[in-house]
Amino acid sequence: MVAELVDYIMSNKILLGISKGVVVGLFIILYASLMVLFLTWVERKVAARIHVRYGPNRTGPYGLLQPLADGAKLIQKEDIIPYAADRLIFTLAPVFAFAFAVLPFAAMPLADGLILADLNVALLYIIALASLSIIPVIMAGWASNNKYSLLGAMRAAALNLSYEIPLVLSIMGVVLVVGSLNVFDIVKYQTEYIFGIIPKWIIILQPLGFFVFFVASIAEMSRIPFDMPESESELIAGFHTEYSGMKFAMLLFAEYIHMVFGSMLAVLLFFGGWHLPGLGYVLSFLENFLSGFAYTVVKWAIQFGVIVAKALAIMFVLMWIRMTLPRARLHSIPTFYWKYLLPLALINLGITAVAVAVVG
Amino acid sequence: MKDLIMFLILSVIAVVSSLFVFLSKNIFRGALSLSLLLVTMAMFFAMLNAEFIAAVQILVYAGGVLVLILFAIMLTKEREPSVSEVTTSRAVALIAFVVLSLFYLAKHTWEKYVPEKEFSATGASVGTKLFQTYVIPFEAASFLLLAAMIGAIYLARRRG
Repeated sequence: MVAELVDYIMSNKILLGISKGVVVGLFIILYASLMVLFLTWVERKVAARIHVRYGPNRTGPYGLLQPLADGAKLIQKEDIIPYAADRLIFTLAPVFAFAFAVLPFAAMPLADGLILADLNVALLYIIALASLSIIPVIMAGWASNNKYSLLGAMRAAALNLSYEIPLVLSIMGVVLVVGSLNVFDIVKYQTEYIFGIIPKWIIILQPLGFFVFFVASIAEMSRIPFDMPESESELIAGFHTEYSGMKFAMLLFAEYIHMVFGSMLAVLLFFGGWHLPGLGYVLSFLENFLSGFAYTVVKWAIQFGVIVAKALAIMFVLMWIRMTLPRARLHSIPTFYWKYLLPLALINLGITAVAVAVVG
Repeated sequence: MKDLIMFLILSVIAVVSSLFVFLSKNIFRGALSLSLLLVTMAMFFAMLNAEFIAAVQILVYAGGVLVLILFAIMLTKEREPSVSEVTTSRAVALIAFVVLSLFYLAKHTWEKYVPEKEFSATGASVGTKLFQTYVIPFEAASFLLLAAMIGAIYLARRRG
């Protein structure tokens, strides 16, 4: 019965596409959500360690069940919509926030050959969808009809106009080196070695480009020092001041998914993706025991694990920065991005262009 | 068949959202449905094998221009919908629009639009066209935009 169904699905091209989409899509949503639950715990634990505290340690071993307790609490909360709010947009904003946060993953390779939609302009699609994530924030801030929410949304828009161009220009450097907008090609390029020893990760070729990318993507995730949309010391909670219960939870999810997305993009573009020196030997060793589909699944699991491990390392740095630095002042952010980071990105692009033209 | 179904769904979304842009009395909702229209247009491009144009459409229009529009709306104080009255100039504009579009519809030949197979709009092929075949029009357009930008900055400086 099951085997027949599988055979029928395999034989029909449209059904195969749809079922692949459903399986990988569900996996992406599940991965993003579980990652968010885990990250809320990690963030509180890391913050506590930096503050010389214990952090959550009552629910489960090491407080690991704390996210579930938080979730149960948020579900119980009353769902409040302010009287003067625009009810439709107020309700839609968290839905769009979550959807736009998950959508860029569709064009992101999760392992060698594992991707939902293999576009030849994948990187451009990813950047385009990431740039949409500002719209739900503006929706939430405007629909709440609250001056703090509106100020948060306006700051989000101003921040968006600041970071986007340096971010895209720093990614352009990577595209120039590799010569392709396809993320598979970018990772494949990084699996080679310089002088046979040093892995050819793009961060080694483009440290300046990575610096610009990293600073701009902190703003993309709207985390301290650039968490203008929230800035809780001035604006209560910024654009989600009026949100409670599961709507608040969805906005929080969207924010953490941006963090997962940003660090995974950094891994794929600058840190070699699933490439790890020596991993090739392990995989060819495994190939002797496993065959066909089983080997593919194990290979995907290992490569995906490598990406997640690298991404977690980047997220740790992000948490470290959050616990260390104060929030930047609003008016200094556009100045910083336009006057300092944009020229740096242009210099990086210029050097890269000359180098690519000279070397070949 | 699959394309036809997708086309019909997208067309309904596009027509309804573009009607909503100017029928909505709430300017913020109008702007949001404009963003929906722009994303739908990007999907049309994607259906015509122009993935590059689709991504650029989302990046520039939905992610850039629309954010600016929403930003401008947030700076206005007016939250209540303003009732627009019928004036002579508006009536003339409406009549002119209807007549001109009827002329256009009458003269237009409805040939079948099919995705172009020979030219696949990848980043490389669009880049080659833009920077080699059409480099002079491209540079002229960017020069024009630069002039407009300098003009805008000059006007803003003088007033402030």
